[in-house]
Amino acid sequence: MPRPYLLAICSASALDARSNNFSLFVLVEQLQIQQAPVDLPLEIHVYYEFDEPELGVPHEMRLELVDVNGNLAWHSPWIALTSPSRRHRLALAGIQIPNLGYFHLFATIRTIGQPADDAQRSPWGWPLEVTQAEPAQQPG
Amino acid sequence: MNNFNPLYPLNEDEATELAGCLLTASTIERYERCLKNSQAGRRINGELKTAKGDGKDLLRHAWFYRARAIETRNRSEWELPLAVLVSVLGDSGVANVDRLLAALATAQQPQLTWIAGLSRRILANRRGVQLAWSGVKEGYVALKGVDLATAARSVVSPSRRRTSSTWERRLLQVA
Repeated sequence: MPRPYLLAICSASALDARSNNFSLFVLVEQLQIQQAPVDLPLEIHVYYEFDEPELGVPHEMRLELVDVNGNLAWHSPWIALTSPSRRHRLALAGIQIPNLGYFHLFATIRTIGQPADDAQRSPWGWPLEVTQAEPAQQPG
Repeated sequence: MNNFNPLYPLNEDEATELAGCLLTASTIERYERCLKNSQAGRRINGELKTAKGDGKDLLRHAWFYRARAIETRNRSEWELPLAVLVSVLGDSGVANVDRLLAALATAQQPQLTWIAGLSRRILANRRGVQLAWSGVKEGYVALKGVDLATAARSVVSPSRRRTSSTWERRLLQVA
């Protein structure tokens, strides 16, 4: 199964068209929000390394936000990926924060057409602490 | 493609140098090395990286030369600019290069055997990019806004985001 070598949440990114390099801006580990649930336009970068026999094989992956008790708090739809390259980098936009708490974001991948238990979650998750923002102070 | 040089972006000297090297290459490794070390390859790569060259324009030419190479039954001069463009663009992040590489990698025509081998090598070693949406509609709409900062603020504000962990920076010792 393809192995993730990077999973990160950031505010924005740039892909250099000349060098094929990504730059990530403002890595996000902590959020303060006014209300939950909320959809945030953050970027999630998930980079996979494929073995030779896995090239060209249709896979699909999804993001999974897991709370401290191990419960699945949110997940994205399955996203198809078929890589012709050993290293395949996905830049995804949008994450839903269901409630306040301490979460880890994981990436789960599976081979299309295989049984559901074929899916493998990344061995580590990106931490995301979500707390309540202080109410804005009234002028005067 | 308003360019009257039939082998654009190669000039005559570069085409001569490449023809001598590519047509006598006995292995795909040597073929690839010819391209990397060629005057044309270095020049076009440099122009692309310093924004003097237009990646989209080069990609359009690469598709054009692919079509000409398919039409011609034997190896021809079209292979020269096509090979250089595949070599240069293959390492770049120009949008939709993957499609060109995939089309060439699976080419069955005998005259494209070398280009197909080159494309397969580049495809296997390059870093692919896939931009996708994770299905959060509100975030998706916000990022589609013309003014990204304003659109993002409307969703995130007054939230605050930060990286909070402690950090350190060390100089690696090189033996």
